[in-house]
Amino acid sequence: MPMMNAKQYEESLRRLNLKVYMFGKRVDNVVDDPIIRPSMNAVAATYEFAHYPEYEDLMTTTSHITGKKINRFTSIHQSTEDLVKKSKMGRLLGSLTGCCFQRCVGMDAMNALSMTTYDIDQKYGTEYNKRFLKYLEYVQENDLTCDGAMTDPKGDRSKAPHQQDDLDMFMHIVEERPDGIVVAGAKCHQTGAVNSHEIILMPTISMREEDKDFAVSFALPSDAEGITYIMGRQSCDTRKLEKGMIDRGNQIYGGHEALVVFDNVFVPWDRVFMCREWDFAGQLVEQFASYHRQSYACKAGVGDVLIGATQIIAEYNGANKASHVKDKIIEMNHLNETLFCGSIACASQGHKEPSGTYLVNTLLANVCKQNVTRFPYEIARLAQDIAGGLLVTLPSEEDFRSPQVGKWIEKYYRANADVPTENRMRILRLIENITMGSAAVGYLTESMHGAGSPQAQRIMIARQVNMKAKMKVARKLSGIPEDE
Amino acid sequence: MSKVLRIGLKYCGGCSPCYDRVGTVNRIKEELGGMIEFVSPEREEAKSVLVISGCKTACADISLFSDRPIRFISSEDDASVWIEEMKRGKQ
Repeated sequence: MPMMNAKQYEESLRRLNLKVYMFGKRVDNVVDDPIIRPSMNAVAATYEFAHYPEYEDLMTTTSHITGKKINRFTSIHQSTEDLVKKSKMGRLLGSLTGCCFQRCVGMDAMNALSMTTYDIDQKYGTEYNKRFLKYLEYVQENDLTCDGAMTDPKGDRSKAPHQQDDLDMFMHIVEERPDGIVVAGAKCHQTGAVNSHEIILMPTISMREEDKDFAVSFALPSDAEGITYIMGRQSCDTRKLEKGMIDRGNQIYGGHEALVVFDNVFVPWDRVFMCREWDFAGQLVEQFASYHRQSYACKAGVGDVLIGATQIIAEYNGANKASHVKDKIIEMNHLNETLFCGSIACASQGHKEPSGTYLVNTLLANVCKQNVTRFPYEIARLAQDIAGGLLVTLPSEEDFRSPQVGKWIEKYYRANADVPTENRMRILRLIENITMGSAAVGYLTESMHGAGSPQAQRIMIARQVNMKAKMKVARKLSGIPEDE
Repeated sequence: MSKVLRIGLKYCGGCSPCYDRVGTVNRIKEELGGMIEFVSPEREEAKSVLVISGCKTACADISLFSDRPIRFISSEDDASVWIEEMKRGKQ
């Protein structure tokens, strides 16, 4: 099965036995659960579109291990062209789904591990890279979705992992056996976790020697014994349980996050990619973060949908010819394309690491993500400005369908005579969905905190710019002596 | 009756296309119906390849058929010019 389609992916999920909890109850049928299913649809799109001629150039590539055609989400970047196509794929999928399609994080984890495992082996003579490549081939051959899991709960932020009152605040090794290790801890905010076949764990921060039991990376089947998923709530999530579809906003797609608990879980050695090499934890975190900060090209794709929706509501309202409305939409496009610029730039300026994997330019990747922490909020603000207050005062679909009051909604919420009121409601609900509904989890707050909160990028930017060179030129051009 | 020309059809991935690529290919099929047939560019019977690019960057991977004549279409106007050329060439 080199490349699954959407149907095959859905069937593959049905074969998993995940332990998922939501609203205090175990979810028996994860795939068909009405709240989870839209997020499954979004991952399924990454499979389906790989078979469309008009998308396959971005959605597929060639395995550097087997030479076979594979889904790009399972690939290791072999050139800057691969990196650029990854950015473009993110935008494409964001623009087709209008939400987080969840599969980039596993790709970023695998690319980071392809480098770190190699570098550990070079220093310590271990065989992590060989293990990892065997695992990678398994992922590629079966076209799997992998959850890349980094964020630990972290407990008391003023304390190192080994100083925590409860050591489970950071994923750690609790036992080493001849056949593997036993780990305990949790990973928070796991995007697409219950739509994944595999979960790949990485440390959450740089470690010191005292923290070596926390320097651990491994992969497990998502339904391994001892793993429990607790679904995160999203704004407006229970609208998916209501009658009718309009109030969902996005009729097809969505995203999800979960808290993933590892209650003394066994990991066989062939799936362990780091075991107490504390001096490589920071590298793995930084390289994963850099790839993942590039991945936020997807937000430009979601921005495409939001800008399209904003233009439509402007036309439905009869306001599209107002100069300030036109100018605001220009501003939305300017911000959105600037987001894309950052992702394309860090990709095109990437380089080859000793392992052979290409890594993005890490300074530009951090600049890219820093913009992402801001611009979607401004784009969303402008969308709400143009949409008008009806965005948040619109009655429900059930009222619209009501024999008693539906006629009044039809009458009073019609604007442009050529546009049915229902269409106006639909586009307003889509804007609501992206800017404050369930998709705002991905478009706004995930843009803020995903792949590291804003301050994490600012620290990296400060560390990587060549300030001395800038000062040297400034001194020279202003006539200040070099030795001043 | 003239023979149908088999042409390989390759799309770029369409990250942010400046026009409707699939719609343009459908227009080409309509206007050149009976004259051409699009096939996978990887098939040997495709003596030439038409690459439909969403913009002038034209980033589609053409390495698998770079030994054959390739025509790039990056806009609807490009497509119109090519359609006319094909019609003239067939007359």
